[in-house]
Amino acid sequence: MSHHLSCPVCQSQIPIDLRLLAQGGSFRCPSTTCQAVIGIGRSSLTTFSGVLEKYERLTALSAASGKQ
Amino acid sequence: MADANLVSMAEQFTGLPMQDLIGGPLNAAATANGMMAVTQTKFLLDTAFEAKGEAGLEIYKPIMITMTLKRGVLFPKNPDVPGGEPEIKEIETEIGIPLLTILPLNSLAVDDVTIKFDMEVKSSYSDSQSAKSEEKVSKAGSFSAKFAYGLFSAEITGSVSSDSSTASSRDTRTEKSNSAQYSVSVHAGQLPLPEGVKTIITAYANAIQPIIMPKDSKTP
Repeated sequence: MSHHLSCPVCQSQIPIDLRLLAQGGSFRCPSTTCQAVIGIGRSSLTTFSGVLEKYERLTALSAASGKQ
Repeated sequence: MADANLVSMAEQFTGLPMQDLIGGPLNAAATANGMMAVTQTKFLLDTAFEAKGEAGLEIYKPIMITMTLKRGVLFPKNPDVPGGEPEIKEIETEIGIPLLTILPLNSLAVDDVTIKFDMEVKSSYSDSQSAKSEEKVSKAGSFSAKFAYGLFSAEITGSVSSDSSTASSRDTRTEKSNSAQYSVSVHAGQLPLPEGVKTIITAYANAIQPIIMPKDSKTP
């Protein structure tokens, strides 16, 4: 599930995978001059992965209703 | 004569329920969008907000998550030497942001509805008639006569025949065909983020930026 986040340092768009982010992965800003790395803090991993799971269910439900 | 037998194209297209054919899928898409919006709003309030207070007077407080930001920061190798050679150190910062700014919410909707209606009316008329008349009458007759007179003799023979026949055929053929296709294609996808959410994200992104405190300010 790809998504973009705005880099807090240089405002470039950082491509992220929400599933990997929920598993503790971190993503580097594509700007060669910035190279900032963002990730989810350990204390928020459980909260974020739980919400992401619900979000994926909602997305699947919406896609199913769209096909109908 | 052939025109009268052909199907009138205008007649075939009048009476078609075009309002239902076009409006039906559009109404269904709008209803689906409304349902999705309600579902997403409920999801947003349930997961990205924390309700506090009594029933009916709830105050929704956004759930904050912690994000880590690592970046290289230049430090002077020797702080006592002004303009000295710098070195890069990786500094990790923790940022608190609302959960809803991470999820691409409120952007799921039916973004494309294609209605395709093909109707084909084929009308062909062919009338082939063939009339064939043949008459055949067959008659035959013969006669012979012989007579003799002294040294003379004579013989007369004759025959008569005639053929006649009659036949007729008629072939009439008419062809008509109708066909119709109706297909509706609906696609649900992500819409661009609303301006309000973008503003919130930008505000948080800007708030993360480090600021230079004046030298005479006191650390809180």
